[in-house]
Amino acid sequence: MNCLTELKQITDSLNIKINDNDLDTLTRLLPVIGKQYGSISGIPTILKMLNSLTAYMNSRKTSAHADCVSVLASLGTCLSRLAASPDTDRATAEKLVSEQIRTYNVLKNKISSRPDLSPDDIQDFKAAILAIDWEISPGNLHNFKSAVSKLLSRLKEYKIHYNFLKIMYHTGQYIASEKADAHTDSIPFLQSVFENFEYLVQNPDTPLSRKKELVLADMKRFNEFKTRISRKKKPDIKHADDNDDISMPPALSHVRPDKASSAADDDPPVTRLSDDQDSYARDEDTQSLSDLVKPALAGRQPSSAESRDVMDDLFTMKESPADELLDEIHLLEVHGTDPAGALAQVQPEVPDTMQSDQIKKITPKRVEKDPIPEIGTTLDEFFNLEDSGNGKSDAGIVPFNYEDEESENRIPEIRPSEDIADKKHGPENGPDPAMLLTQLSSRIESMEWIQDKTVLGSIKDDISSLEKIWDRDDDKSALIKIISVLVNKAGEIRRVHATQTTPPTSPSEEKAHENPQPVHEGILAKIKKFFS
Amino acid sequence: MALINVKTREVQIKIVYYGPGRGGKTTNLEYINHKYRSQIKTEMVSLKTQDDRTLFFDFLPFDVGQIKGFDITIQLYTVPGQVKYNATRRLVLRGVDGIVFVADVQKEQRRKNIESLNQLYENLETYGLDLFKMPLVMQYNKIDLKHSDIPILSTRTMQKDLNSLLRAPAFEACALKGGNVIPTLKKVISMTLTSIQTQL
Repeated sequence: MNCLTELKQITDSLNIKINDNDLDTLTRLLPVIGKQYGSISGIPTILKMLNSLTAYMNSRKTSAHADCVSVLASLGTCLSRLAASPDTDRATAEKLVSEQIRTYNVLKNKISSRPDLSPDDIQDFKAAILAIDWEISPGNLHNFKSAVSKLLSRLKEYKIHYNFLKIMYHTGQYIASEKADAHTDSIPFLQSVFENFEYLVQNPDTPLSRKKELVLADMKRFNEFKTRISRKKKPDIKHADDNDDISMPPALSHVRPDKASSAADDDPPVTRLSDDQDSYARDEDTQSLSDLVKPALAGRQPSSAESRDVMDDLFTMKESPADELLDEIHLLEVHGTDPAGALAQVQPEVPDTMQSDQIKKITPKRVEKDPIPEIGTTLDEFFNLEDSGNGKSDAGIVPFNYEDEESENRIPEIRPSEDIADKKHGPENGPDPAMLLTQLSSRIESMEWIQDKTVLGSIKDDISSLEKIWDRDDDKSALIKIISVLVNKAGEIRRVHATQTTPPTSPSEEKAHENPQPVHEGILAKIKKFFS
Repeated sequence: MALINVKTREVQIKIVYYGPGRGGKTTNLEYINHKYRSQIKTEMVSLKTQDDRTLFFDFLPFDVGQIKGFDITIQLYTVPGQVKYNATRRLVLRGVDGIVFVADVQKEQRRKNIESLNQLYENLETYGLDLFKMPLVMQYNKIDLKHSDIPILSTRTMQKDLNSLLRAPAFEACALKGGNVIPTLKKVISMTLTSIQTQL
């Protein structure tokens, strides 16, 4: 059988179904045709295309592009025509061949550019990338890896797409290894590569040259990115040692190089955490801490399960500076952009000249002078008040231990939930003047101290404590002294009345009087009368 | 910048907790919020990721009382620590009055501490602020890790790395359990108010 006839039969057979036998026969037949007709103008070019197409079909078999067989048949017809008319003039032959080249290139373009991807595939991949941009978490990284791996296996035959995916895969691997330390450009780079990939998938008719241009540009950018990363990593290698003694340039040494060397020899003071505080801290259970903090904007969450409209939030009433700051973040899309310049567009700073006399804007500066006593007092009053929560969590609070606080008035902490008398004698928390005063007042008013020496002793203790606390406050000291004198006088009167109305007692009886037992009715009535 | 309203006799101070990611900035605020929840009337706003990391910032405002007849309102902010959120960090720093730099004493965090502080300097520069002149307190957090197997840096190294040039007041701290959290806060507020006390 003539080899050209055989070629025709094979293409007809392949048109019905692509099978291995026909492809094998075709592979063997093409060199034979080359030997017989290779000298005819145009045939070698046609044979080259036939060989390439046969090789492609052999590799893809039934999954080969649907247009392959028709192009193969067209090439076969052209070959037969040229072989049948060896005298065809050169121009006609070239015209026929160029027509076949064009058809062949169209198919080639289709094969290299049209991966079988559904919109869902792309959306899933896009979601995985956006999730990484949102947060570099193990879950998001895992999703990204599976999405890109899936596409890599599916698009292995599409070199351009495959190269895009490989770039994204390696960038993702780098982000996964560095996590939060990944270069700031890594995620924007990943996104830009994805955009190009998405463009190619959505525009399969893009000329091959343009596709190549895109992928080559991204490969170049990837190499540049790798260089940037390695440059950033260099200090790591230098300072990788865990040893404390490894010399590392201190922070801001590049700003004040003149002072860097001298400053290193002189350690500034530091307030240390004592072992007691530290050991207690280790024991304490603070699980409840985070539980008490409400999640973001918890108070403003809508009751319905519908998703929140961020843009709508932008136009709602602002309740706090946090809301305004959040709006600025939204409006400026600060992640990845420079907010400083654009900030003025959103909220221009009020110039100094525009400030009214009633509102002053001051930039605080570190000053050497001491704070006025009122600052220390106010802050002490605020911070020394304890909450009424359980004692367990409170007990772990570290008392103030400023290195420069010795001269400040220290107002002790109080625990309303605990017994005041116990609290007063606590090792860490001194008595609170307000509570002592309330306590003193209630004890005096109860009149029990007239009968009970223990209560009288407590009153004197309270007075003594208040005198100590207010020893720098002349007015309060004077008042507490008056109270002290009155109490002493009342005590004396009680003793005088007792000696006048009762016979001398034995020591055991005296002891009995010290116990909180009712005293003689007549004395009590008299003393009560005196104070009423 | 501190706002002093002479008419309403109010002063507003903005304190920002700055530092590398996972250093304990949010934990500081959570502790303060927990400890003084009876006095802090407003809610703490905390914007976190699923992984419990600060996404935008934390915000905790409260009034500490009166000084020279002025009501003092303190606004505490944290910044997101993750490297990629520098734009947000810069935004949070706008109008800052005092800074607490929360450093992590873990050895593996040494470089991050230094980089973060260097970045703080640069970020402040964009607003024309000089870190060397600002009310600043250093906090060396997670000091309790010395009792674990995790290697930590000595306080001396921390001081040399971070504070040798700034020479700011420094505190060892264990923010998770509240160790030196309040002294740190009190110090930075005190420094800030001292700076403006003559204006009141």
